[in-house]
Amino acid sequence: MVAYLIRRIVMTIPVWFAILTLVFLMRPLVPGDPVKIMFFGRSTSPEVVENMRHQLGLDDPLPVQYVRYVGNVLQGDLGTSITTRKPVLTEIRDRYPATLQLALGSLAVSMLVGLITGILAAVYKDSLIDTLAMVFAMAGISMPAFWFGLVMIYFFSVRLGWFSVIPDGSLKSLTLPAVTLGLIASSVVARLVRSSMLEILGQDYIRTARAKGLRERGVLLRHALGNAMIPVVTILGLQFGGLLSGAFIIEAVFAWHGIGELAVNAFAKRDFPLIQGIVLVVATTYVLVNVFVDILYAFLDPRISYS
Amino acid sequence: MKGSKLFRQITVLVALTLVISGSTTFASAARLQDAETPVQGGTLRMAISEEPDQLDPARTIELLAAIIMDNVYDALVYIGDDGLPKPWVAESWTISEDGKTITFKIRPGIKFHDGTELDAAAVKFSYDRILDPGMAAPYKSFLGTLEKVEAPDASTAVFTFTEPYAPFFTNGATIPIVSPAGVEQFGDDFGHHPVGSGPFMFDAWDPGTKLRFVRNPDYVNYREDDTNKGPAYVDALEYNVISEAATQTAAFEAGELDLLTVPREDVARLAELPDVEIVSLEESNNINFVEFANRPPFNNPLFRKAVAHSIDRDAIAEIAYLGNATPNLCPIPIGNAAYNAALCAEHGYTYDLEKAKQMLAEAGWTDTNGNGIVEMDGKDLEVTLWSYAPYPVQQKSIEIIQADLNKIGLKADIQTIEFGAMQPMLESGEIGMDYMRWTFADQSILSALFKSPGWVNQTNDPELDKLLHTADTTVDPEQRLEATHAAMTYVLNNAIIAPVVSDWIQTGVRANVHNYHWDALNNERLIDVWLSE
Repeated sequence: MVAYLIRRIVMTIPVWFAILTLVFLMRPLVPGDPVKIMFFGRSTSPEVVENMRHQLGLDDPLPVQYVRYVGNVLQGDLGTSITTRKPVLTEIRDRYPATLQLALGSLAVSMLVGLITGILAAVYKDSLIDTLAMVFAMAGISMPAFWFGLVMIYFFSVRLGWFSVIPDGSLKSLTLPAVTLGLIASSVVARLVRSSMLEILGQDYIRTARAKGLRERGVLLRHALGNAMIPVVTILGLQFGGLLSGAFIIEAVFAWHGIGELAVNAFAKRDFPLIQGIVLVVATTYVLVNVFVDILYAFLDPRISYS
Repeated sequence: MKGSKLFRQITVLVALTLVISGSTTFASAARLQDAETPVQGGTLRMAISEEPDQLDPARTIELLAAIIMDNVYDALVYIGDDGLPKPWVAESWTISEDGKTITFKIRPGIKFHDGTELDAAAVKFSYDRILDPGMAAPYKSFLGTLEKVEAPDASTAVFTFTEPYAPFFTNGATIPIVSPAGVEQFGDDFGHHPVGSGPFMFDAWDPGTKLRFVRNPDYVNYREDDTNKGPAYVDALEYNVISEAATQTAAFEAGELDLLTVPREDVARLAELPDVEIVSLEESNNINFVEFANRPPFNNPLFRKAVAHSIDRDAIAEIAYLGNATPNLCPIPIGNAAYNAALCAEHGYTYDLEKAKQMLAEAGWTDTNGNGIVEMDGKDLEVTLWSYAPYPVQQKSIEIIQADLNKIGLKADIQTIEFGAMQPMLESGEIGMDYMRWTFADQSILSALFKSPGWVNQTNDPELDKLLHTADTTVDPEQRLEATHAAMTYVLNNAIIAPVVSDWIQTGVRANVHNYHWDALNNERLIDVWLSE
């Protein structure tokens, strides 16, 4: 088990380096001179542009910039934001908790709603409940997050006045964005739980459990659900990544001040050190969560052993 | 260019889904003034679409930062409605015979928020920071030929230029003056702890969330263009960071904001709401225009004149801007001091498709094979009109222009592209013609755009350079205006760009907000604003 753990963690190192390289290459590969774009639409002189380029180290050859970049990242220095001149790590650290809060909140909503909908759909297969549940799931997958978010704001905040539009950082103000993001994400969970439950409900041991005279609730919750959860946990990691990126849009819509909103602003201002830092941190989170899920897997499914 | 507003188009969608909109009327006054007596108190709540980078004039170039800094700092002069500089921190000034030295007399008794004196040394300190190459201050280019600033005594600041620089008053003398003690105290973080001498003092900056400023109780307002001569009426200003335009609108509708920069698509709908008034600044410093690359066929003046004649400015203002823009024949914004409707009516190009066709024919493009497209040497005249995404207004405008270009026999395609990708294509000349928007307060917008090699390599015209140089080095206001008009006439006669419209600045104001107005440089004057119950 320990050997597996070490192997699994070591395997992430080349992945992480590939990410680091791609993140570095983002800037030279995208069209446009970052310094000139910063000054767009303002009168400026070549001298001012040159000063800025030198300050940012953009006048060095690319390999030199790369080695410097990797060296700095390994020492925990993600650079300095062009616009705010604060360390990128500080900017991200200020915002990360809010994004994590939203991702976890929406993960909870998506799991809760997804499980209930999926189980109901499976148990009442081919009934009206099943149809409604699957229509709900389809709607969730097809609905654009920003549109749904705005509709939620208009309905619950502007019309009903239940929540304030401008979040105050309280748990209450987390409700609307987390429910919006969670509902959208729950559709994938619901569909997966349904098909996985249906498969398991047809297994011999379920029939045996019923033949023993167990109550249906016991059969569903004790025998079926536990097994049906295994594929669900597998996508948990992917889902979490999806929620982090979904948060980019939802955060902008709900004025939720996490790294998603930070990223949108950084894109708008072409603040490339900040963009690179955010992509790196989000990708690293994604890699780590998936390692965690792989390990969790072993605990959930005794059939899997890592010896 | 405004900050990128993603998903703005969604506003329309939501508006259509949730609200039945009807016909509309709204106030379009430049000033919203009330006869009642102002009362003190309350917090003025506003939204900003992104966090400003820094509130340090030696570090930032952002329009948003400039808007906020306006509340915190004072400057040497302000620009009056006549486009001329007026005394503020400087109570008077003299310009040397050769125009290379301006001596400002600094008003005594002005104090920074930290209690230190705003004297000539502080003025010198503020400008020296921007001149220092080590700071890489983006505002440095606004100082033009300024060489050095000296402070021989506490009330005298002497500005020396290598060559007379007429735009200095609008571009340079309006730059905020910072507290040297504040810079000393906060160092590199001064941009996040601004200390000035303005009507509002920095209170708190919650990263990414909100900025708060409180009233400076000791403020004396020396500006003639404000009605309030003492401290501000409101206790505090609050700027909430809300990146989505539609969310800002929702917060305004829910009563969580007092002022709102209204998205074009929402103007009519919000004007219908009770307790809301839309105030429009029609004489804005914005200009939208079609510009051309310096290569055939775009470098042919007749081609450019044909394009200029085929732009239906009224239709663009009505349809693309939903009536919230003014057709403009001048190559400068309507709010600019050098704007001259008569001059531009004489030398400009009104919508006239017949004339446009004549121009093309004169240049040698005629439709000989009857396919509806003009050609020269058997080759059809095909062009692409570009604009940048994601602005629905821009998109609609180029669609309207495209339709008219096709009518004069010019086969026009349209393309929108992300700005970062657009700029190198503009510089290389790959983009032949594009629809562009600039915001610029001073007459020197002409130099910024057209002085060789032009802002993106489109112009190379020694004769125009000479005219622009005269305009930029003529310090006497009246002579300068004349010189600018000469340059404008040249730009028009050669149709260097095809001006289209000046779009308005529009603010949604809740009924309890009084005295909201802008100054000549389109800055909000929040010192005059007061809140009723």
